[in-house]
Amino acid sequence: MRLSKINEELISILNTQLANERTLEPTTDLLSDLALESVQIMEFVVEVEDYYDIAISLEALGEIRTIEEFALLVEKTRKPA
Amino acid sequence: MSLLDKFVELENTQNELLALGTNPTNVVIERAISPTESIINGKPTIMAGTNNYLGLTFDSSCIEAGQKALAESGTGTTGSRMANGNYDSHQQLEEDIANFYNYPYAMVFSTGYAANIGVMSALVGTGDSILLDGDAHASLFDGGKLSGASVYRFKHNDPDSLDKRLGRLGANASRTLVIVEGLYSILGDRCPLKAIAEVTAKHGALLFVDEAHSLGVLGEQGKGRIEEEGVEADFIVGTFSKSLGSTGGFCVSRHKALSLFRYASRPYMFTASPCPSVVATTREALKQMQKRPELRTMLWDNALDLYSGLKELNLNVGPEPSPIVAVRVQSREQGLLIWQKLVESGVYLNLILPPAAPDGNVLLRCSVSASHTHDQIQKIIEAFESNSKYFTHSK
Repeated sequence: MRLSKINEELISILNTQLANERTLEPTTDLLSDLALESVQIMEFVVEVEDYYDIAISLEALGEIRTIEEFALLVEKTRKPA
Repeated sequence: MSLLDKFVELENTQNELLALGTNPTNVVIERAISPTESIINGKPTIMAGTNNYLGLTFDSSCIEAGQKALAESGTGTTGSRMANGNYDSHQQLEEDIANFYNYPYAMVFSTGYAANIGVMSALVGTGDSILLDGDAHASLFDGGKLSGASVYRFKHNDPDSLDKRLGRLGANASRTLVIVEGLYSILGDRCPLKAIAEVTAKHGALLFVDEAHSLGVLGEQGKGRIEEEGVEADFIVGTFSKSLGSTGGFCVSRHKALSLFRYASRPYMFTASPCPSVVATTREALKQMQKRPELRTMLWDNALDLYSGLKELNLNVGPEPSPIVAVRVQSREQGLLIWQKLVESGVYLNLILPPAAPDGNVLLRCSVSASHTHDQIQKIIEAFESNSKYFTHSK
């Protein structure tokens, strides 16, 4: 799957979680730009896991801050088609 | 950038809290008068945020047992169970707790936190997995980190979400520990334990239930959610610091391996063992809890009174009545203001700020005690009512 498509999908999932729809970019930082609490990020991870049918461990999240970094992790974690 | 730079933000937050006059994270109890009343800021205050569910902290038989042990065995053990701190009273307490649950193996830890991280880190390791309920206590996340296992979350109280995740782990599901709490500490909601246990068994995983807030609170005999749901867990972990009014933690299991955790659990091996007076008060409190089931009836009567009283004020309370009654507020600022006003009104409770609260909520959390009088419960409700104007937009 193309990385740009994953970015778009992640933005769409994130927008369903945010109280007010925001203009999100792949470079949007989940912490500094969106001020998401760690629990909100965890909720986001659970939604992403279900969307792609993948398992993302807490340690794999590591230092991920932006949507595009998250997209790379999703691409890496996805089972081969 | 220095190692110390990260504390600048924390210092700013602390200064904001200090500006309130009373810091909600560091309230000084000048004197505890009873299980439900203390002196705070020189004023008698109803304690409605202490987890003292059965009100045993001032029980005369527990105090007597503690005083006797203090006089007979001294102030502390000065070492770990593995080295010089393994007293016969520790082993008696382990027998007591095993007998209470009717499980063959039990281990006592110095705190409930140590029990959680101690059991988890001994049981799972690199290459294994942990599946944690999304609203699980911080100690369970810490135990996951310490274990070195891969940690995944499933949606709170959602057996289907657990099922999907165990399915995704494939063959590794049989090397997975599923962790839930009997009664969740923040919103006071119960775990759908039967369904969780069925899903766990279906995938060949092991089930760990933290009964920290449900020991003495749920079930005919106070064994917790496992008793209420009629479920067998692989590992039941809990604390003595809530219903039993003491300190320490425990684990019981039918797996013989638990007895070997003594050689594999670093939070058990490398810390001082509970002091004899603490063990004595715990043992006596466990006896009192079993001898006086009316304490649980009184606790639930008070819990239902407080829950319905706050609900009648149209406050945004948790999903079901329980001895943990949480009220959602709109923002951190509103939470801080109302918490301060309630303390000024003579009611102490807990202010729960993210990340401690689920979904980024800000909560005012009460915990009810069997020792609260009807009058005290009414005063707590009145304090919320008299400060209701500050709840604008949060109903």
